[in-house]
Amino acid sequence: MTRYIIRRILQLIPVILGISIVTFLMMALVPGDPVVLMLGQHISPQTVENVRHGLGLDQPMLTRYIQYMWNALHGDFGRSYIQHQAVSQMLLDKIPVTFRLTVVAMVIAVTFGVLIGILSAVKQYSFWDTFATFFAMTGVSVPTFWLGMMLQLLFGVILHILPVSGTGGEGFHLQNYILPGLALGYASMAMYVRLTRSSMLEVIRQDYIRTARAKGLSGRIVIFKHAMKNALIPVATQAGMDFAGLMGGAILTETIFSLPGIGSMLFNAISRRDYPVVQGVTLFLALVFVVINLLVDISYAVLDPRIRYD
Amino acid sequence: MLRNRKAWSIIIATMLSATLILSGCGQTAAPAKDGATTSSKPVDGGTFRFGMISSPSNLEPAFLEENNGIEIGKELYDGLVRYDPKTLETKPAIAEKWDYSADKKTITFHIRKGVKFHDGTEVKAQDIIDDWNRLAAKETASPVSFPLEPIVGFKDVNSGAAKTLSGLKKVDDYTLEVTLSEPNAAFLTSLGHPAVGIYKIAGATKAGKDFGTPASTPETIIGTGAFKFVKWNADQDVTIDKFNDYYGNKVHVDKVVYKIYKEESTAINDFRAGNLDYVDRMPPGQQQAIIKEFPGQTIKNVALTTEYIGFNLNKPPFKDNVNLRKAIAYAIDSKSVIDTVREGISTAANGPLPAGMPGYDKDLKAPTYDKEKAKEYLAKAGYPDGKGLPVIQYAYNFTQLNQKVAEAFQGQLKEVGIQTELKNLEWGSYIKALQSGDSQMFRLAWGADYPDPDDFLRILYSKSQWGANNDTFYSNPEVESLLAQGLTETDTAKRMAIYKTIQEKVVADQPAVWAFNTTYLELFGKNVHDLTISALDQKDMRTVWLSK
Repeated sequence: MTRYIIRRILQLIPVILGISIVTFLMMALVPGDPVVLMLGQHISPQTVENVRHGLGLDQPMLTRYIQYMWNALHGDFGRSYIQHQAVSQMLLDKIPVTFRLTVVAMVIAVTFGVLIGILSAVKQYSFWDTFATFFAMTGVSVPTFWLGMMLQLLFGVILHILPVSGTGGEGFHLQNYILPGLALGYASMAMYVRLTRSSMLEVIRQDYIRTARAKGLSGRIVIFKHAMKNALIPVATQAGMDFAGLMGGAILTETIFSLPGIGSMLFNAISRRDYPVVQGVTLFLALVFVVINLLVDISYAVLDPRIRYD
Repeated sequence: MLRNRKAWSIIIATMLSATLILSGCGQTAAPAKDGATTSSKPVDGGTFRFGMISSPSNLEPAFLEENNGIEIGKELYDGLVRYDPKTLETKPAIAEKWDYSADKKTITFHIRKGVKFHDGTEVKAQDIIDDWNRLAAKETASPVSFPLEPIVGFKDVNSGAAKTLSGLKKVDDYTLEVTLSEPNAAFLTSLGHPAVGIYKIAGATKAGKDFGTPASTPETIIGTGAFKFVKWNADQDVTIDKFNDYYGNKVHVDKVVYKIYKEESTAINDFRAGNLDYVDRMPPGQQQAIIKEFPGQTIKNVALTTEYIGFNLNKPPFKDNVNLRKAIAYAIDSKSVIDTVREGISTAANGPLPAGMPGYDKDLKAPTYDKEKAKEYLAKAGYPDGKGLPVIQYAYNFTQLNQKVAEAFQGQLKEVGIQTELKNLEWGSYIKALQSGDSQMFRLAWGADYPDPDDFLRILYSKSQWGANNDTFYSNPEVESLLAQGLTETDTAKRMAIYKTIQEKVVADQPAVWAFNTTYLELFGKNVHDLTISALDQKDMRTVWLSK
């Protein structure tokens, strides 16, 4: 296992390098000049030249890339063209927000998704199964934007029990993440319901479950100890991928709830050609995906002792 | 639990609005109450919670280029002069008075004694010289150093050939002499832009590259304004506190917190929840609903911005065909588009200058919607009923509103026989295409940096701005000469007469159709008083107060 982990970590190097080259090329090739986007109305040729020089954009692309990577190796990801803040600091500010939002959303999605999914499988074709299907359908149908607004209105404006927006200041304020977590987690939750249901239905028809029941074990032990462990393998895979995806993709939720996270930072940076920020976020997200993939693979071994990597 | 009928109506209204946004529908218009908020005896204290849509980019004066940065920056940094928020007249600020030399090239500013930086030290002439040298420097790469352009030596400093502006001279600690390359009537007004606001350079030096970023601290942003910097939580909020040693009139609120939103609807929900005192932008498609939901709590503020449809005069079919340009001007019905697409929240423009700008001519007769005249001019242009006229490319930078407006205008043009093909681009590519002349007919807007007609007319209609801001590639030697006269004429009455003539000539040449003056609907709480919003769309935090 240790050798496997070391091998996977070493594989990170070419992956990150490849992603950095692709991102750099893409940002350089897409139309739109960052200097034009930065400058407002009064554009004089001297101003354009000064800004271009100040950003190093008058250098050849290869020189810029090598310089960027050299600095990145020393922990310097450059400065935002727009805010002039160090990208590393921007990432440090925003990663905790996105991480908290993702964790809350995942906890909501997986906990409720799995429980409802199990209920739906165990009580197949019952009212609960129909309810779960309805729940899943609405989850994937309701737009996050609309759901977020409704949650704000109900819990923030009418009932005054949860904040409408923001992070609540420094540190972790759970109450500020519940509504965005719900809005973000609902669509995923619906998917976990369906995934758990189908996986569970497959598992509870296996011989070892029949054996467990024949041994006289209670239904609860059979489901939660024997069936659930195997039924959760596809859920774990999906959860891993979702976690990585949400770390970079919760743009709408971050926007509606005014959460300063990675998603909206990347979106803004792309639309304003803020190359250093795009590079920094992309490299960070690549790292997240690779690490999460590794953790998911390791979790297989924990969930199913027959899986070995040595 | 939801016993309250109002609560239900809010939910239903918002559900409908959210659904409308999702389906891309607009709403019909109705008038809102205009003007500033009510006034009675001011109460001191409290925190003004300002709902701001989108984050400021940077708070260093040299980078106060976009609206939100300017909004906060103008409270932190006072300049030598400021604008009266109601009349936009240029008034003394750090400079208590100024004199012109006989040739009008040199201005002597007399600096007010006792003006304090936020660290308690006094502002002196050398501080202003240091700040301005930094603003003009090549390495600062400021996009807003334009107010200093008329000063002798600017080009050398801006290109890196010199370190200090030779046109700045400290006479004594309280007297600053500024020499211009030539008389410039707009110079004094341009000094009200917060980019030339005064701050303590030692703070900037201490902060290094972090100056003006969210990493700023009260020890690095040391301004001269009525409020001092406290903290900036990136993409969340900016807090400023009342500066007790401010030289100007007494400020009423203790603190202003600019809460930053990415989505207007969220800010409105926070306002409904009682977490905000003011919101500066409304969600598209919901403006009339908001006016009805908050009667007497909205202001329609007409900004010094003109939105127009420009014609590329260097290319067919608009080159040398003023009749075709006039035909389009007569075919376009801005008022109906305001009532439908723009929710009644805009003003129809009557020419290049927006109402409220010095030199604005309310009697200017630019063509307005007249279908018959449009057909008449189309025939004069050589295309009776549009026959023989190729499909015109009509470009706009993509926003939902721009798209809807373009579609509405496209329909109006089709009615007289003018076929257009819509083309949308994102801003970066769009502006580059316009500057390089890769356009036929396009949508653009210009907002005043400072309240002077030169900032509109020279920027948009002088040949010197080809490839920069004059994207119609308009050139008229008479106008060019008048623009030069207007800039150097220091007699206000004579100057305004020059700009009146310029406008008439530009309108006669019709390089554009001036469609709208941008108008913002802004929402304030019942406890908010004496909130003055200028035509530059700047809200004056020095006068506002909150009732208990």
